[in-house]
Amino acid sequence: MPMEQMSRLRQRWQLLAYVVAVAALLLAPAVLSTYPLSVLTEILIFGLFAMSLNLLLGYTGLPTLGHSAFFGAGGYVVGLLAKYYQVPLGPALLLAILAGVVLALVTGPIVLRTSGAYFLMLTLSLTQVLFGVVWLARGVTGGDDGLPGIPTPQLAFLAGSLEPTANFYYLALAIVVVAIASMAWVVRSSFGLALLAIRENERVVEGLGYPTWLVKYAVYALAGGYGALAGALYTFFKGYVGPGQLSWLVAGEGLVMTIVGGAGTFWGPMVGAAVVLLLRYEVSTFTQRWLLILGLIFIATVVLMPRGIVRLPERLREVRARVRREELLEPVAGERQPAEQVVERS
Amino acid sequence: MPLNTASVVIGLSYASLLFLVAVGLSVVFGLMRFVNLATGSLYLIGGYLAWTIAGELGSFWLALLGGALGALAVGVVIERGFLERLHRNELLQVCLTLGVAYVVQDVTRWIWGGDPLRLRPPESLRGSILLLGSIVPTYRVALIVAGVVLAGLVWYLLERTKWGAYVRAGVDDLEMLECLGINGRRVFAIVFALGALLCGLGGALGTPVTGVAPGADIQILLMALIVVVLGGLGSVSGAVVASVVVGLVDSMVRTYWPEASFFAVWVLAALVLAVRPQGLLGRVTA
Amino acid sequence: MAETALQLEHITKTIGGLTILDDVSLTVMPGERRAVIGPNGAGKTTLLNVIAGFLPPSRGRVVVFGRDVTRLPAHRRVDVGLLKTNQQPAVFRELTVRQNILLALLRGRHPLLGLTALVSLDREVQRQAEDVLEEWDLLAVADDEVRHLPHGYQRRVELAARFAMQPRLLLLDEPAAGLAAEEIPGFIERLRRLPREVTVVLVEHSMRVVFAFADRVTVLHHGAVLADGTPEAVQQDERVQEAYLSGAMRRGHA
Ligand SMILES: Nc1ncnc2c1ncn2[C@@H]1O[C@H](COP(=O)(O)OP(=O)(O)O)[C@@H](O)[C@H]1O
Ligand SMILES: [Mg+2]
Repeated sequence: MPMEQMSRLRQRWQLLAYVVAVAALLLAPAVLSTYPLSVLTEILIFGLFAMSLNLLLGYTGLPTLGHSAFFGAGGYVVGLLAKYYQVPLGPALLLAILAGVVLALVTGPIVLRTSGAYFLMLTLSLTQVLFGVVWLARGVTGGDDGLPGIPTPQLAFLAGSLEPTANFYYLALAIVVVAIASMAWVVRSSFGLALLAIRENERVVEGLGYPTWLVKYAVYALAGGYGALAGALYTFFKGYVGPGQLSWLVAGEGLVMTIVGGAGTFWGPMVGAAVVLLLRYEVSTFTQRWLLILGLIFIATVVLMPRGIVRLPERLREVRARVRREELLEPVAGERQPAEQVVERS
Repeated sequence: MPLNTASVVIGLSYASLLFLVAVGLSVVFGLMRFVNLATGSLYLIGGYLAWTIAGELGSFWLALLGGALGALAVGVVIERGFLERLHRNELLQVCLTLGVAYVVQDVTRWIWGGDPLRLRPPESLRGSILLLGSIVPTYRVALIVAGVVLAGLVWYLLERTKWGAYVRAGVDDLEMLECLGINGRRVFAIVFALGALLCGLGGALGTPVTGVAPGADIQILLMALIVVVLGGLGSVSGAVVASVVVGLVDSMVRTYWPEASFFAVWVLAALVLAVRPQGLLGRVTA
Repeated sequence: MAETALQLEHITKTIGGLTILDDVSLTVMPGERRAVIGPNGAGKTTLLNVIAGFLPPSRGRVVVFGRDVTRLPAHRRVDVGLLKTNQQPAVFRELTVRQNILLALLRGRHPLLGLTALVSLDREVQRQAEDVLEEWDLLAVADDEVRHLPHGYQRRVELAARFAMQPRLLLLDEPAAGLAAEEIPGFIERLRRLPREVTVVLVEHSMRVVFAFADRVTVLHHGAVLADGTPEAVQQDERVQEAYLSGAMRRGHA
């Protein structure tokens, strides 16, 4: 069948793209100097953060403006563990993930009572509360000053042969790749399909016998775990964690990265993270007006490609598919076809 | 601890400003489920324009008018230019309005610089008066009066006019409103414009007490969001009550426990929402 | 004594002071095909939503195959064998036809909410989906998003997904509405092919479908049961004719 051939061809191209990307990422330290390499590291970390946010925003249709709570929580957990207890990397990361999951399990029952705009507000509120708690608990968290001087972990077996930036880059790359692979499993699982369906119409999913609340609770916990992992990496990367890492501005930035790249697509948030961060660092070298340009990019995204960068080729394919379908469905074309159906919503 | 008259006055005057910013946000939210993160920017524009106009023309009252109209103009541009296509799409709304907020923040910093600017109240409202045995700034008292008057106007508009009835019906059920043959988008456009006007007015009125500086937009936005969720989306009386509660709590905490000032209101918001996700006076959405 | 498939006992539903369902009681026997008819706004959709668990009744009991499900959330009622279609096809418009079918087949199939299994690696479910698609003539559009398809196709996707889940009690809310005249015979044929183990409650305006399919008819009017009997008997009933006529006169259509 031509359809199958086409999709097999596409799969092959996809495989090739992955191989090239992985090779490029592996060779990057050989080509890039320290500064661009650190930008690349930051892109990977923020990409993971935006991808975790995308699980809620893009896959499940839960617009959160408080995802920085997990980013910050992961950061503070590894910051405190590494600084005061010299906990090694592995356990510290696992505890950070656990902290994110627990935080989500605790706040989930509160925020999941709502959806849409209310969900947005409620996640924002809870994150601000966490921000306040961290800010007040000066004895533990360092308050406004945060926790400076957190040692950046290194891959021991490369310690002799690489300078620290490249070493940490490989470490972050390995962790991010593993995290993304597991996330790919989640979204391609039967659970992931249920998420997409919930995004569109939760009631119908419930009518098919899915415990939708539980599914949303689970994905909220997962997103919390991934978000905390990204935050932990970010803290190690910066060697510092402060309340800024919890700020809703970080959540907003993750949200925008996701939308710019393409909410609900797998790689969109990573692409969005790359675009936003590259622009930030590029633009700020020649002008102070970086914020203005960022704002214009958001606006342009909404106006020109509301479904994100990653979906541009898909849109072209869609047009072609429509032509094919029109030929196919010709015999029933006389049937009355409601142009825009209102989806029954609760 | 006896309530300190001065901090009550400060709290209530802040509540007036909060109400002006929050009421438009709330009704727009209730009507169209529209999240306007550029609300604070309208406030900022109002403040800066007022400062400039007062400096050029020397009239406080013209400054108020100019600030309000400037914000109105920007609001109309946002609404006409973009919002039509964003109906019920919270993600794009957030992206767009956050983009506008960034642009406004940077452009205003470009024009007016990064330092806080403060507008002087008009001659007649400078100084202090004696109220219930305490000395309080006259302008603060005037702000409270202005807030009460404007809240009364909004209330009248929404509760006592036919047009207000459309808005209320739309908040309850937009489709129903359209079934009655009323153009919901038009109602929305007018509400949005009026909301922008009040935001700008709030910014202009607030400049003598809080000053205007980059960052004021985000601060007032966050506070207004709290007011809106606390009061219940789309509820004007909720916005009044929540403004007063938030204003008073804020000023009390500032007086007695300054470290916790910005975080206390969020705890309040989180507590209320945990118990009543629809806010104090909001209705349950089906 | 034979167990009933569906038993409604004094179901009353008020919303905002309005009585939408008024003391509705009815009994449907296993294997029966029951039509529920009534003018627009009679409360038919509301009734199905109460049965399926999307609206809690203000008063009364819902019993499905001997089990009181009144307090059971909607998704748990599917365990009892209850499924419902909607007036607007209950499909996922942004998913492909195949994904819609898979979603139905995958429910409750894998532990941990389905986190343990990749959809593409579950060969058996893929094969089942393929069979369903073939049976419903949907193979040609299997990988198109449902929103691109005409209404008739969307309805077919909805029914295919529900039938594939092998319900014991199927609630259909105006499934023939919006179908073209030439599609109706094929649709009736599909319904007739349902095995007799499946009990069907059908809300329908098309009398053609009702007569071709239903064993008994219940007439709902202003939220209350107005008449109950064989299609022929109900059609003769004067009160029913009156209700329809007055409704048609007020609303300008039948
Ligand atoms: N959520 C609701 N709030 C208020 N009234 C409702 C609601 N849902 C339905 N109704 C009213 O209940 C009546 C019955 O509606 P419905 O069950 O959809 O009728 P039918 O399906 O028979 O046409 C209608 O008058 C409708 O306006
Ligand atoms: Mg109906």
